[in-house]
Amino acid sequence: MTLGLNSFYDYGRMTGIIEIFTLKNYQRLWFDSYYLAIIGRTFRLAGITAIITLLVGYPVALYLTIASARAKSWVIALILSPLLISVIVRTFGWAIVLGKNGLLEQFFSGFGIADIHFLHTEAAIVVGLVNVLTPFVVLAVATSLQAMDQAVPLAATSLGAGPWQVFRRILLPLSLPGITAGLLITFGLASASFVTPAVLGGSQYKVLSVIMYQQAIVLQNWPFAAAIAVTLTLIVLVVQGLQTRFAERADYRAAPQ
Amino acid sequence: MISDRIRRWLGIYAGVICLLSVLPVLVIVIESFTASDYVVFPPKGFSTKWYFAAAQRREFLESAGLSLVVAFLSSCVATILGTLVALALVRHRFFGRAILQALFMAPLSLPGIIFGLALLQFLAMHAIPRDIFAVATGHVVITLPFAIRFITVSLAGIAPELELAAQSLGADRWAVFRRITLPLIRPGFAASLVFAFILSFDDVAVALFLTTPTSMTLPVRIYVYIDQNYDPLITAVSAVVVIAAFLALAVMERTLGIGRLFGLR
Repeated sequence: MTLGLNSFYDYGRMTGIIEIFTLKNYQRLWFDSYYLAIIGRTFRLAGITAIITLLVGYPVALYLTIASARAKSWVIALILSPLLISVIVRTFGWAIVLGKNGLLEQFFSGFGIADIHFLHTEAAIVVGLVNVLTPFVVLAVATSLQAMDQAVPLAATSLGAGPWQVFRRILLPLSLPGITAGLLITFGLASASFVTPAVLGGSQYKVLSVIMYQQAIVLQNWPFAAAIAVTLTLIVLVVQGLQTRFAERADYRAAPQ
Repeated sequence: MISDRIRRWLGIYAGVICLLSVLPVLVIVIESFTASDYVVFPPKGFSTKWYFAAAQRREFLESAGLSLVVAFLSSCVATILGTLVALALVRHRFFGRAILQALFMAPLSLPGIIFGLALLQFLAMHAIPRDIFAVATGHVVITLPFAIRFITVSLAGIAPELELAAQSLGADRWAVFRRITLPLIRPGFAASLVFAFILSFDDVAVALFLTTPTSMTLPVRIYVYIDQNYDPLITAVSAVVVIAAFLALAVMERTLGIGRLFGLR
């Protein structure tokens, strides 16, 4: 079945409405400043999202390693349960929070700052994406923290290390595989996300996935949409290649101990 | 290891993040009871009129039914296929096993929206109509890796001696599978069914390309509606979806444990 997938995937590349081999679509996508800006924006959005998601999720994962069993099951349930609810529903929830006369605008106008808008900004998309992707970071980091021998930080403390030192010299290096995995997973998912940028970004904010949808469904330009899809896939594959490399390196380093 | 002060702050932080992560869902449910004709939060007044309004829109009911059918079909097919594949991968050693394993996991790394487009062009090329079976097929592909994974995990937990013992006592292969293997992998089987069902029911990216105006799954219907309107009707529709999801979640937590499903102890 997957073989089938791969084959028609290949197909998608050059299926023209006119079936002539051409690189025109790629030329248009990769060398036109309008589309280059969109590619750049996709990268920036995914990068910002990945970093913020990591910063948000890491302490939660850290808490999971020290929390009592009951607190832990609560946190896990609350963090993971949104995964079971459609992205479209959660994103619309954010649209209400961030939208016109939403919670956040009211909050700011309470401080006398009126005329501030969140919906249809990059910040709104980042908030939505971070919300959707936090579970993945928590899972990645928590798994790598769990793999650590729980006695190691204790040993460091008994040898006189302060909490900051324990974090910087013990926890951070030992959870590095989880951190890189979390970063790369969120980058990959964010770069190909569609619903969140489409709903929270408005019609003016365009990333690769959004223009791909427009080209395919609205404009019916399937070859160009396919070129965008291949480009997006390349980005995701490169990210995944990096992830595997990092994972292997981490294994290699852990092996001699 | 960590002082009480840090532990407390981490706990508070984790609580805030938990709250924020369920905030959009809470907002939707609360907003769905608004009495106003436009979206404003916190809602003005209390009424259930948007639920009645939503119930009168036949397209939402039809889409919900369609989504249920698609999710049911694809979760059953994915789980059965997943069981077969997992059995082959775990119990047998054969040429190309590693490659096959990697191939079966490949859809995991392909973003749904790209797969949706690819499937759309594939269907068009072979003149296969876009109907609910097309959507269900797409969902089987995206849920199959999870099914294989869940069942592989439960299979790996069974001592092969149990199957061998049954065989040596005269059970044929089918009897071994039905009487020994299947009951033992039941948790993974159930997890796969539930998870595939939810994944399929929630999917927008793949279905977006495969549905036609006459056959639209519920998440796509919601997306299309939001794209053109901004009123509380859709919060009522979403709230119903949310409540259904939480019921499923409660059942799953009771029977299986969510954390374990994702590999967290």
